[in-house]
Amino acid sequence: MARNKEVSLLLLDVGPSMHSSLEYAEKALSGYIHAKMLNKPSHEVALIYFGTSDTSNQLNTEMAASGDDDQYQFITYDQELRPPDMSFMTSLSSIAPGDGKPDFIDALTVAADSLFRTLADRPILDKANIAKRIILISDFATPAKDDPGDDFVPTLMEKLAEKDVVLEVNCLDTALQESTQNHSRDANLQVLHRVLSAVRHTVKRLRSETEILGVFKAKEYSHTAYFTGEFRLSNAMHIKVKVCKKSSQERPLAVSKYSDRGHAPNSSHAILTDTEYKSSTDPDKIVPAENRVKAYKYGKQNVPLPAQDEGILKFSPDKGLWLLGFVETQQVPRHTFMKDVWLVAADKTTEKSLVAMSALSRALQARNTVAIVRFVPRASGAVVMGACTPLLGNGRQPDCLLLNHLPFFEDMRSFTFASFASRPEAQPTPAQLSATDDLIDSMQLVQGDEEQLKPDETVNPTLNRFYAFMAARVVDPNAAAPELDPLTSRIMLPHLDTLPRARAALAAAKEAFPIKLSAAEKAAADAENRDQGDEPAENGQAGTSGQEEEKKDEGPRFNLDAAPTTQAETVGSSSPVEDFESLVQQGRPDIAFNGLARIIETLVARSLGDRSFGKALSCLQALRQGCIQHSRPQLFNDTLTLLTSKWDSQPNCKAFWIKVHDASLQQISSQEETSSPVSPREAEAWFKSHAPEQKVEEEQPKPEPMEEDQDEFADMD
Amino acid sequence: MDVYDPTAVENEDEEDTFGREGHEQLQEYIIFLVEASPSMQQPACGDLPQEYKGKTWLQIALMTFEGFLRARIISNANDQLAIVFYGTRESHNAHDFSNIYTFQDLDSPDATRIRCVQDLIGNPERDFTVQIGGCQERKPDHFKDGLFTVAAMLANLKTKTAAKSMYIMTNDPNPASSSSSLRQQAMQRAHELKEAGTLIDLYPMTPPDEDFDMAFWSKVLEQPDADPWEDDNNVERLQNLQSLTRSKAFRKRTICSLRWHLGSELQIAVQLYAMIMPATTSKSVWLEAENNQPLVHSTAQVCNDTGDILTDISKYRFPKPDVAEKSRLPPVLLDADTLKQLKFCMSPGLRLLGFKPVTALEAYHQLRPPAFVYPDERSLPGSAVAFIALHARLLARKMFALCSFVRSRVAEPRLAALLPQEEEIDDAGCQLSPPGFNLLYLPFADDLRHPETDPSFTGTSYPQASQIQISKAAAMIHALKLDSDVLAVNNPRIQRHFQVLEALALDEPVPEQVLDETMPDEEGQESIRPQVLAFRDSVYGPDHDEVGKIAARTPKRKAPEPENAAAVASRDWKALAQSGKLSTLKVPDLKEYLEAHSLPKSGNKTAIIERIENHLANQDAQ
Repeated sequence: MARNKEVSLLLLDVGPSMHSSLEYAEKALSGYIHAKMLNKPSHEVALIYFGTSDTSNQLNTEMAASGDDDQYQFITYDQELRPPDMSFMTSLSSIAPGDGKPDFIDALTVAADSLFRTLADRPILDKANIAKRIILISDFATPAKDDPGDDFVPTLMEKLAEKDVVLEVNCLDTALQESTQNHSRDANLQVLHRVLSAVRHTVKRLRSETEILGVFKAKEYSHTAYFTGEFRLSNAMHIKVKVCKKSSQERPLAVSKYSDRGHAPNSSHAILTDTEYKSSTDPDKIVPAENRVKAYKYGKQNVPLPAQDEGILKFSPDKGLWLLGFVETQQVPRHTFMKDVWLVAADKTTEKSLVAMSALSRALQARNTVAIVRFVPRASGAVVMGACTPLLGNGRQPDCLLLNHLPFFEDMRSFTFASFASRPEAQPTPAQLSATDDLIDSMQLVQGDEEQLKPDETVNPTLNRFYAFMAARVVDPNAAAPELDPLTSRIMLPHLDTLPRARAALAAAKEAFPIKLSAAEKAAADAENRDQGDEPAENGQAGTSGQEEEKKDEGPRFNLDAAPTTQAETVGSSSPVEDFESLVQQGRPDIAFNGLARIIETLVARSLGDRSFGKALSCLQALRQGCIQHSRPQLFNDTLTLLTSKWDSQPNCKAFWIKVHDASLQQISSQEETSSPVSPREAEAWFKSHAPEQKVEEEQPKPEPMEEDQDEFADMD
Repeated sequence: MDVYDPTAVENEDEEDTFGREGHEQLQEYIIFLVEASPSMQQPACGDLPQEYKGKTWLQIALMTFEGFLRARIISNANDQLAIVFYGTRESHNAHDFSNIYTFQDLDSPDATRIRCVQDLIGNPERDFTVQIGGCQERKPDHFKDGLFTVAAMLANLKTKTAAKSMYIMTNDPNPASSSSSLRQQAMQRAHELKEAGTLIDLYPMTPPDEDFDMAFWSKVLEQPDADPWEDDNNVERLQNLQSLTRSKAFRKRTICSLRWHLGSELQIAVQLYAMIMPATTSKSVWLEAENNQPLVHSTAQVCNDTGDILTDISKYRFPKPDVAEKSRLPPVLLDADTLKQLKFCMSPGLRLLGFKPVTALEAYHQLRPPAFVYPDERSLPGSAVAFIALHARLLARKMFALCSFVRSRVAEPRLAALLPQEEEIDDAGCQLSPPGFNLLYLPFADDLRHPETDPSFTGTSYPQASQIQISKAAAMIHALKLDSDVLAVNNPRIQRHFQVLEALALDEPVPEQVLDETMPDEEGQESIRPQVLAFRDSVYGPDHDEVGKIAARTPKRKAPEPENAAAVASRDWKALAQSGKLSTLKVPDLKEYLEAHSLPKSGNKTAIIERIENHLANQDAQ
């Protein structure tokens, strides 16, 4: 029962207290619409603003027709329910801040009413398996008109419950300017809870405006069973179950390579990958498919195995889920879980299976044990050793099992590490331990029922940014690539604003543990701190007001181009010369030299106009100097040759060469470095013969190497 | 001179290889130096694992070597191994030393080498005694010359970056007792080896409960400038030869070195290690059919519109054309820098965000294998103290540290839990689990799904079990407790893959199937039948009608439909099989036969045909 329909109504508060947050709401909603268009193009969405200056909705029109024209005011039904298209995106890109009174009860009423009308008109949507959602984003700062005597709203809510509509409330819970507003928010939320008590709903608190960006997941999944069958407890008993993914890493949708060579209107702009197999003895001989045979490596041997025989390599188990036995929870420690997680649920149609599953999971919970299972989801497929732990539903959802992969013998490595106790010089003093305890106390992320950065509620900021940018480009093809966005900072850097004692405790820890950074590291750390706008002076008075929050979120909190705080591992494009020097100092000259040579090529090839030429030139100068100092003249000379050889294929190389020529960067001759095979005269002659105007045929650039990874990001650097 | 390859793609996006080792390129050279004297050819005694019973010490040493060869084929097929005997009757080595026998010189493992070692183990009288033999008298020279042979083998290596190890297996506590000058020479050799970066390890071939005088050996093994933060092996040396293959089959290599930032001022240097790394089957390559030589492949990017070969691709399109078509979205064009900037936006490191109780970590907060985190005192002195303080307090308070984690410059920022792990040492002093933090990769909301709350998956009625039913289940759980060693079984899929390749490489018949250690223990489960039945009856009722039907009572597969049976009967399957024409039939037709004979219908066409042929052959036999 794959679902290909879903209905969601978006309700956004655009009233006065929301104005500063609209920028974030716009991004979040555009991202949501964009994701729907990308992944679920047949899902239907409606867009309703409330708190608008104008009014445009059916209930208002009808009431007005009957003479009562001040009902359901300041609600604009902006986009009718339909599969979203570009007009949604355009509308969102220019949300008008409203000065009407935002009444969320009215807005909910309008939304629910319109939903029922649609369901009546289009009975096909009125099916239990088509999920229906109303998503509300507001700060609840304006008191709603609450009329307990009115029975219209309760009737509406009952009907919502009957149609199994889910209400997702996102409450922006930042401090408001006036205390009266804070008061009305509390009152509003109480009203909301009363009104919603009959309906399935979730309420998500957003602790800062930036968290609005994280309201929606990048992609929604319908839940289809990966395995349906029997959970065999032994020969004597089984439980009918379905297994479905519970966690799985979400990655950005792939981009494809684009060719701008074709100019015809119907050009595909596609790039095909053409692989040729050549004989190792005769490089000119291309071996056709029928003359190739597949082989598998066994140590250094290649064992040929014709395609029709490949099956014998396979271990071919029957599919199924078997119970092997039970172990104590501590026998399968958390860090032995190896991959993503499955959910094992009893088949919903057989009540006794549900009861059996409930009994098993509750008994596991009570006895603090884990069920060890053998799971073969596909016949002839992989065999999984799994650990099943209970996930209890407490009546709101069924009792289920979570199935985690356990490692096989081949997957495990056991390394020994020196015991901490064996290092008397590294034992913390009581003062250090107490500083550590203070730090732990000051940075508690779980307080009562409140948990910050709960994985279930924290979206992946990188994915979010990726899609937000794509959505922005759809509306405006010239939209600039985002700076490091506030959501990434919000999630990936400590929330010192919500942990008031943390600054002091961190400073105390710094004093307690004298760890000396080298001068270079210190400078790099300071640079990063400056970029984060993190001034240690403002101890303790971490801002919690909305405005201060806003100020902090404006700029990037740390700089992309900041020098890394750790030692360079490779030569990157942001500060190549520094990386190079660092690597040479670390005694890793091969990585340093090759990396620098490569980065020059990359910088030149990817330069927009001559933008990166200056940087590339300084790299080239550094490379020349380094090659002389470290007796590697050939590398530098090869780099020059390579640049000239690419004149034809890359216009950038040719343009860059003018700079090289102006800077008189000649080949390294034997005069400068004795190991160079090039005499000073030869170097001079070569340089002249490669003056920028001239075109010299050099060896052809080698073809691109095989790309095994389909992920377009893989070759990004 | 390094060769500058301008076209090499920097494969830096190691995000996917988290868990696979980052610096796997490093080759390792391992030499076993095994004493062959008569005392080593005595049957081993003492409290030994089952597989060593009745074997000689020499056989056990060889079995260990064989285990190494196999493990390397699966993990690092490029590593090179050698085995040298000292104190042999015959001599065979590059330097014409007497009583030194280089049985296998340094080379990567393959099937033939495994077979040679197996022959030596399996038939010591014929193969070992005749070919190599033990020298009747122990002489101090033997060990010294053995060391020299090993040193020469390692000195000849062209590569300088490789890791080198030597494992000595002997039961002689003092091979140079009679001559102090020879002892000096042996020490000198060992010292030179260590200077050249070789790790030396000793495995005394003596009963586990017997004392072994380490006076001489500890001098040999002592690393001259050992880093106190590297592991010290002294504890483990005498134990667990069996686990040697596993623990030493993989050299401890760091995934990466990082800084753990506690606020803006305090940094702790740490290193990450992969302790769990999913093993994979070996890769396939293409050979030229005529001569079985590997083919060289080259790939070109061709413009679909013009047929031009493109050497530099600077533009990308989002989404892919097929997605774009469905989504009604105009394509977005991007350049490589923008894409990179979108994805990789933070400098590498761990940044502390706060602390949570261990109970906040759900079993489904899980995506990938963890990494193990250990302080890196050498790179930043003082790190260890801070690390140990955090470790101690978090362990005591049952909490973990929540951090943001960027593994490298080209890795996506993620959230990670640093979960403290206590050091565990068994009675014999072996380290079972090292002290440090396990870095668990946390999912984001985008990575989590909620099938349990989806009525279309789990329905809307959630009946709960009664206390009686729960207690019956608990009784069953109690009865079917397993030992922890069920958790260390071989992966039948990997074993099968390499078993078949090994047979094919040796031109031997392919074995039927591997031993599948993952199957339930039938006997064990039979013995708890009463408890299972009690649980079953409490849920499904004594007549267990509805879903309690036990599998044996329901026919597993439907009886063939009459027309189906007719269709099946209409073909002369035997004739088809004999003439090899089964493959001319379509898969659905073939499956009708399987259905009619209640055979499994899984697998591809080849498998199906094979199953039919087997079935026909069996019928004939009957």
